[in-house]
Amino acid sequence: MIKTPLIELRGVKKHYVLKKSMLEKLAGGREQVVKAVDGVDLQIFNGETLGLVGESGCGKSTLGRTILQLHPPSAGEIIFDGKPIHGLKREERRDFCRQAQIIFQNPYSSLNPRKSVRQILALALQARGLSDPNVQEEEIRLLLPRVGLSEAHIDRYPHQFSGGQRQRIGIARALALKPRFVVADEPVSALDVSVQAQIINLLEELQAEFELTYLFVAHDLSVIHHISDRVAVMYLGKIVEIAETEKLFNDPRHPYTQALLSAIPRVDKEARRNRILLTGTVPTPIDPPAGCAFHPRCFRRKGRVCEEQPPDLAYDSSQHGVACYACQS
Amino acid sequence: MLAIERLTMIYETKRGRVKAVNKVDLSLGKGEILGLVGESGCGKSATLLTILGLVSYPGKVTGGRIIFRGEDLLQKTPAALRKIRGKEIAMIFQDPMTTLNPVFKVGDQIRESLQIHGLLNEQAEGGRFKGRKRKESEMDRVYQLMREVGIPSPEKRYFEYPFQFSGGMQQRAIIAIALACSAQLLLADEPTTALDVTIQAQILELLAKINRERETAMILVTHNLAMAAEFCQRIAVMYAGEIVEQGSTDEVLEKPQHPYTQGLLRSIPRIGKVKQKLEPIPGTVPDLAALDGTCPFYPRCAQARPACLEDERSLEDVGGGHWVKCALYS
Repeated sequence: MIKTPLIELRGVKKHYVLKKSMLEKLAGGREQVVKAVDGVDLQIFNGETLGLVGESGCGKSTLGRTILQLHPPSAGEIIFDGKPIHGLKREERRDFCRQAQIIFQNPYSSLNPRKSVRQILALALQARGLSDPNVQEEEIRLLLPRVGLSEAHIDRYPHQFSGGQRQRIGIARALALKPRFVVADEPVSALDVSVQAQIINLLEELQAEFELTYLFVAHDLSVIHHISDRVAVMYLGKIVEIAETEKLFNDPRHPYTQALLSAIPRVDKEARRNRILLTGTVPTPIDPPAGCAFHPRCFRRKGRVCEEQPPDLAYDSSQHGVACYACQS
Repeated sequence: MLAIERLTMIYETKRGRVKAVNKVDLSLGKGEILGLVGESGCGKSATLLTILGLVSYPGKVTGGRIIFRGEDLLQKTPAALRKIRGKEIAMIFQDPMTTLNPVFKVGDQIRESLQIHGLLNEQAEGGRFKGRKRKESEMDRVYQLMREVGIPSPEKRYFEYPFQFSGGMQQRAIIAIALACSAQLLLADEPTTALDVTIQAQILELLAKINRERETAMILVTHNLAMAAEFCQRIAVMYAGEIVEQGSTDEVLEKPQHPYTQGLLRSIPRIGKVKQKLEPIPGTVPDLAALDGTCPFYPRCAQARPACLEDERSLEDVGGGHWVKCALYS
């Protein structure tokens, strides 16, 4: 695999300003900001699957959506295929939107219940510039078997499908645009175990067939381990560790990653190791702790330095990046 | 302590009878933790609701017995059941936010359980407390419970409302309610599904501690095989309302006998194993209203054979307390 970045993020931030009530406005005081994504540098290489893990509220979904421009970033730069998205002209921007697609988490709310499969997919094809109904029909009939649905499903509505089948429709919709980059935002977490495996396999097959690049967002570490080439761990809006999958799972360096990995329940008996129990919960991103955001829960805290200056993501020779003072010597 | 025999619960629907719980046999000893695993709609939660007598129309228990400490719960009057519920058998639900009442203080909700079952009144030294004295003693007990489940500064948190609690803290409060009357049997319905991995580990550790210290027996319902593997001594696998395999955790997970259990184990990604393609179970879970008494797994089974279409299958012992319901073994 030639390692050329398809997507590059430079210092991407996404902050949301909280609305104040009239009373709070009168009382004055400073604005409250939710720092959902707070300075992320990241490269996603052509043809790879980058897994993004973290607990709820850590900003992983927001990051995925920010890359797709579903919400514009508050700061930083996103470069797609060598060009900064920010400066794209209207036409080029449309083309970017076609090439970068998303598969949503909840197959029950991401499909319009009033539209048949044909209508759902036709709309996507329309966006690709195929407006002739006959051509659309033909494309849809090619697409459905590809995602494991049959042509007989074409005029059915979402409620007639099971969760797994709906997720297949969502995947077909993303594929209809011939994307190069797909954000899979928790695509299997709403599904049952046996169906989950079907969808994971489907995503892997499609990746090989269409040379897709995935950003795979999930909280289930076993799924991430299975599907990803590289894994990035997020905590409170920042990437704290990033490495190739095996490296990260065998040699986690950041204390948060260590705790996260040790917390996964394992089926295999020999795999159950000493558990690192973290105390407390993820702090709110409204007023994240100063310095390293993890320091209040950290068991390897080094003292003052952790509380004052947030650590930078530092890479070693094997491209294993860690943002932690205790790991950098 | 708990023995369930051929328990059947159906939902009477327009499309026919849905057998949500179909001839389920389970038993549980004191201090034992049993895991009930399976996919959604397989009847895990319905089984728990039936044990507690919480099945309401259109659900109906049509057969079987639930023997709890020598008495059949199905024969009890609603009033008698109410005395047992919350006091001797407690339940933890999946979603902590919907379990707690949003308009009452968390502390008062924990205290309510003590009030209803009149526990403090009976235990109080030197006769009965009345009025404020009683409330104070109850509150002291609530503080103690909150401390026990790991809620910090209970004197402050008592007066907070559920929305001020994080998901993990809410679940701890619910566990405190379950503990309030020292229940001997705790039914936990996906207690950590709504929580993050690190919080999940904290809650499981708390439940394990309760089990160790109080010898509380538990039934843990989960779809997460790995969680059941770590937490439970025995596992029962459910499929389409039936228990298809049951045995000690190690037996079931290392020597799965039923094709469904085998398929389930092959379809989950595992960390630390050499990566290979997952083998999903083909097809989907059957429509429970359309079951005809033959093996519900037959259409998806790779080892299906004519014998599978016979009406009656029973749990067969394949050795070492390991039971399987499959034509392959009868």
